[in-house]
Amino acid sequence: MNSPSRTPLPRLQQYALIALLTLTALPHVLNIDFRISAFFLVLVGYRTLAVEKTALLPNRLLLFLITLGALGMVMMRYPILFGRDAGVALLIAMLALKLIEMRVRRDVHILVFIGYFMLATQFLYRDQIWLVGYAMVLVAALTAMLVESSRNAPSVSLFRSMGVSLLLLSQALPVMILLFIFFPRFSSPLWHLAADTDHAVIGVSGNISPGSISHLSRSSAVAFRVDFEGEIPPPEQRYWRGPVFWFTDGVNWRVDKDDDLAAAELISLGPTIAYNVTLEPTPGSWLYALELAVDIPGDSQLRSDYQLIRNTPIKQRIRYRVGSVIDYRSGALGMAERQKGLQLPPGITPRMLDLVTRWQQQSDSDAELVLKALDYFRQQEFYYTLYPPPLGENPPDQFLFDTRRGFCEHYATSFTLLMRIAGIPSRVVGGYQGGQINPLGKYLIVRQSDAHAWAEVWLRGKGWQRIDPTIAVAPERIEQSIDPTLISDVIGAPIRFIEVKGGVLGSALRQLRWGADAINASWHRWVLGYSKERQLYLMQLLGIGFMHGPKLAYGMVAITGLCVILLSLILLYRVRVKRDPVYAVYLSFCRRLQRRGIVRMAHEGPRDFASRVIAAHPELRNRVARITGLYIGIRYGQLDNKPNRRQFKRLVRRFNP
Amino acid sequence: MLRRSGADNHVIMNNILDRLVNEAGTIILGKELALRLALACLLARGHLLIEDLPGVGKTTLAHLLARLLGLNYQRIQFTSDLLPADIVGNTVYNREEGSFNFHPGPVFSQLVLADEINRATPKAQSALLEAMEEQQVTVDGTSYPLPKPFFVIATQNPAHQIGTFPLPESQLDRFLMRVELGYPDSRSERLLLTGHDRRDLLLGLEPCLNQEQLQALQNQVGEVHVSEAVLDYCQALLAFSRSSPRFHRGLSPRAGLALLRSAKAWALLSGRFQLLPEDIQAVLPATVGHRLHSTTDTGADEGATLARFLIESVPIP
Amino acid sequence: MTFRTMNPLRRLARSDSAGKAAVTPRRIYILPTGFGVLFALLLMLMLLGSINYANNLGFMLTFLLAGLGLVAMLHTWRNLVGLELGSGRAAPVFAGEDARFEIELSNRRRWSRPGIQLQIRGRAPVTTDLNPVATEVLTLTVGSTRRGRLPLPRFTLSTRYPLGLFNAWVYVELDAICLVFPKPGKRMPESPAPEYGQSQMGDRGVGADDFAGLRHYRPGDSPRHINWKALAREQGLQTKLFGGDRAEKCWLDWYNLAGDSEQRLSRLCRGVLDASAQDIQFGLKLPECELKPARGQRHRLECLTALALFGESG
Repeated sequence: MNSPSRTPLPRLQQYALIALLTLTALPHVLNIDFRISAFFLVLVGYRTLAVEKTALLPNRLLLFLITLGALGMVMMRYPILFGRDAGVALLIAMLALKLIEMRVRRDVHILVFIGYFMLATQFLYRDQIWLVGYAMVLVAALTAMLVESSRNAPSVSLFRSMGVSLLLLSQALPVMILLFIFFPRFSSPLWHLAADTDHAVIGVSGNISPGSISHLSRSSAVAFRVDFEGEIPPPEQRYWRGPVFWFTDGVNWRVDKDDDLAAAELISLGPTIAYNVTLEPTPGSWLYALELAVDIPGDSQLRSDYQLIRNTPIKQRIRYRVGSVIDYRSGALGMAERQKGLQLPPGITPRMLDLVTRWQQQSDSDAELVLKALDYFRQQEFYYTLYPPPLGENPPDQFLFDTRRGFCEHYATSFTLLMRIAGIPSRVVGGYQGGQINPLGKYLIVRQSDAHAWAEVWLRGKGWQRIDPTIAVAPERIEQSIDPTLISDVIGAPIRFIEVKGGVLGSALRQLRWGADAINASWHRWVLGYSKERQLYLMQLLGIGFMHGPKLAYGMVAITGLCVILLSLILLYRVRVKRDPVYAVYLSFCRRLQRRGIVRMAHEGPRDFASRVIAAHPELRNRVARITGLYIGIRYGQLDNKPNRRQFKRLVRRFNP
Repeated sequence: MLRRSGADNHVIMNNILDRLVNEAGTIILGKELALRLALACLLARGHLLIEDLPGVGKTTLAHLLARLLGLNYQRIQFTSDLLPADIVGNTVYNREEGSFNFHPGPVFSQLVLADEINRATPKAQSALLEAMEEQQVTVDGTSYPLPKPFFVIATQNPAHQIGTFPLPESQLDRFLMRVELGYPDSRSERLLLTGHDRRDLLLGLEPCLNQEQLQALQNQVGEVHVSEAVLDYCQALLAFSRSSPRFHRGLSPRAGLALLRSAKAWALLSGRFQLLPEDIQAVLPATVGHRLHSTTDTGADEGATLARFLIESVPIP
Repeated sequence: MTFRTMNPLRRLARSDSAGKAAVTPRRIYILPTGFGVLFALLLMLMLLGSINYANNLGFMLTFLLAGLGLVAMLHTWRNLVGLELGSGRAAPVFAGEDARFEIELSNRRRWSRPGIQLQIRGRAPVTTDLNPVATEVLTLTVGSTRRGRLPLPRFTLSTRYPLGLFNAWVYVELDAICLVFPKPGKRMPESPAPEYGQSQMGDRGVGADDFAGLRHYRPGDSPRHINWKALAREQGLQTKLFGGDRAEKCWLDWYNLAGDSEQRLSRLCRGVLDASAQDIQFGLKLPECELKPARGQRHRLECLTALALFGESG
């Protein structure tokens, strides 16, 4: 019946489809098994050859064999056909098969639909702006293929169909925006798919050992961004607290996983600083907060050691609001906590004991001992470096007395160890320190290179106190960030910090970088981080805060329906033929005469009509003659000017026979 | 100021045209439309084809026009044995001078009446039609220009009469207009029967125009203002004729030009310097009737029917 | 006719007094095509995926495509709105042949209308892509089974443009009739006595074939027709006359035939075709009417029309 859909596909369209669909799948090459990518590319190449030589198109048997082969390949790599990667692999195999099979015009739809879906799956892997742009271009081009195939004859140029496609997309854009804003978001996934753990996320984790932080510091990836509701605190106060490490075997430090006590009492000594954090996916479920969090997000809890832990792992970017205090006093130390804070690993050497004993003899109080220890780091030949020389069997001992070159985790762990030897309860804290302020966005960017470790000691009368031994070695670490691009590979080389460089080029470059990050940040904040909470916030901002849950769904349907009706009205308006304004006024004159029973025929000229009117109604003679004369003068003569037009309009408006 | 004097000029011309139409109306009774069309055709520098039965006044009309416009006039009766030389003239050997002299034929006059043009063989027909097109005659390799203005009124019997050679389509295209005279209405016929012999009246007629005035009038046709709206209408007509299945073939661009030109002449004849859709409608049957063919062969007066259909189908934009 | 019985609830575009039918917004039906349904399923799948992964970019793409679907629906609808249909000619056919109705499709708007399709139920569709402000003529064929007047059945004007996700259509009824002549049957029997007719003018020199006699020369006679031999014999100028309009005439007579009326009509039809092919003067005798002997295309058409409409009033 539907013969047009069975006509063979023109070659140009075949090429276009092959190219476009390959492009939709292309970014996946990095995501899935290379064998499947290779299989896909081979089939695509084969199909491209077959455009000219149709004899190459596979028959049913061959097609069946290829299908079996494809399925086998996917099954081999992903035995459980479930989860993200397996789904994508299957989709790619399907696309390749459908491409091979493509012959007639009705195949276009299926192919384009697979293409759309393929683009959607890209977003499961990446969420950068460029990918969105890439996907939009491809959506437009794929839509153009649909436009082309719904014509009867191919259009003069595919670009014409592209124009139609862009027009359609531009009209679809408001619908998209409305749906995006109003579609109700859920806070938890509908079901849990098998986790794809292939792709590691970097960040501070539940374990710390010499080298783990310095490894992070080589990455300029963003850890999180912070918008302060008030002033941004100075760098020396920007300690972003994460995991707290208690237990050590001398090399590794780990957190206390069994601790499920609620946070101890806290006396805050300063104002509460409120801010919003947009956190990138990180290992573990620590929410980073400035020093000590007081107001915590809903789905998280504060542990007894003031770790802020989210109830669910942070696999996507999240955004949360925290209130923190910088000056505080923690309460008394419990027995269990004291024990944890004094736990010592095996392998305490006599020289370490000697050192601590010497400090103990020289100082009266714990506080004084702490200062003595810091002095030791400051006065001895310690260096702050990303590439410390390898350490032997007893790293703390070797670091303290032999190599003396290390990164923050070396200082923090060895300092904590020394404190414990001295009998002062202490712990290592991981997190980030500092961060750069983006002058364009007025927010703080904290990168992985800002990862840091420091120590906390418990002093009588003061409670837990932050001590950062790194400051003793490299005070500039606190003032400036490490520039990951300038890290020298030479072992033991001192670290260079980001400096404010002079010169127009330098500043322009910096502006550019800040600008890009500002765009990126708003992208993250408004698009990628648009969540249930933000939706609620936006609804409240719009004054329709009552809209949530099912109400929001109704609202979405209503608003989108309104938008569609508006669009159809616009289209309907454009259905009406645009008329010359003078002609429109003349038509209104004719309509007025219609009341007197004289209907102007479409092909009747103004003079003929006027004489007919005058013949039928001689009493109208003067007015009709005047109006017609003016009309002829304006429309057909050389009397087309503003006053005449105005007068014509006035005459017609007053003409009420 | 210049414009003013131009306008005055227009007024004078209008008077002349009025007189022309009035004078003609006293001789040819009840043929106002045909007469005006003929005049418009002449002003538009086109040739006229009159198609009708014998005895309805074709010849009188041609004679009248010649007289009124002060043109010299020749009549050629086309017969089946008419030779091209009988129209354009021939070279004769002059024994006394020992040279060939060209004796111009009847075509060398300002107004030529080609009577019953479809009686003659195609060869003879084409001699005249070529002269019309080229505005000159070539005999034995020498070209002789025709006088100016040069205006041909050809008459033709209805095609279905016996013993005729109907003009081919391409030849018909050379005539700007084709008009039909038809029988006079009863009042005019009464006057015709009771009044003087028309030919006698003709002889007593004084020319209304001199050659310069005629030329000026012809030039003014080109100055008639054509607005965008009218051009739109004109194009809509042409487009419709090309798209509608009622027509065997659409109107050519040349037909469009002819339509516009004759409509301008018609507007001028009505004393206007702007073209109205009515002007186009008025000249459309005459200008386009002989260029249109129906897909369903209805034969007689199909041109008029088709023209009416065309007018009624296309709304004025 | 069965296809003329219609559901009163069905909205359709019918031709007005001028024979034109316009597609107005309320007459258009619109439903998703199979691909449209598939597209909706795809969107559902994408939406579920986006919700599950809480993927805002997935939402974005899903909603963009959803918007695209909505917009496409409006555009599909608009692709038909304001079209005008008129019926062109339909050349007569013999029963059993396909009647070809010309449909004049005009787009007065300034946008093009690609992907337009006309279809009579059960016949192959006819398609076109209409340009802005243009008229096109499409031919719909209808099988003719019996002689008489064959009206153009109701047909659909539909489009899937621009995305093929929706199908918009209008039912159209146009006043167009195709004349169906009877199917030519077996040859007519030889008529018992061939008649020779004679024109009123006799053989008085109006023909051109046979020599018919002489008369005195009148000015204007062709020199070729002058009897020069007679002039040589000093018999004066005489003009040869030629005749030849006397010809065989035959009557195609209903009463000479046996069988039921349809059989007779189809044999008469064959007779008309044969006679006009041999250029014989023929007349047609039917119980209702009688057509005088004549020849020519027009006469042939008249005879065939009389046969086609036999038994139908008007």
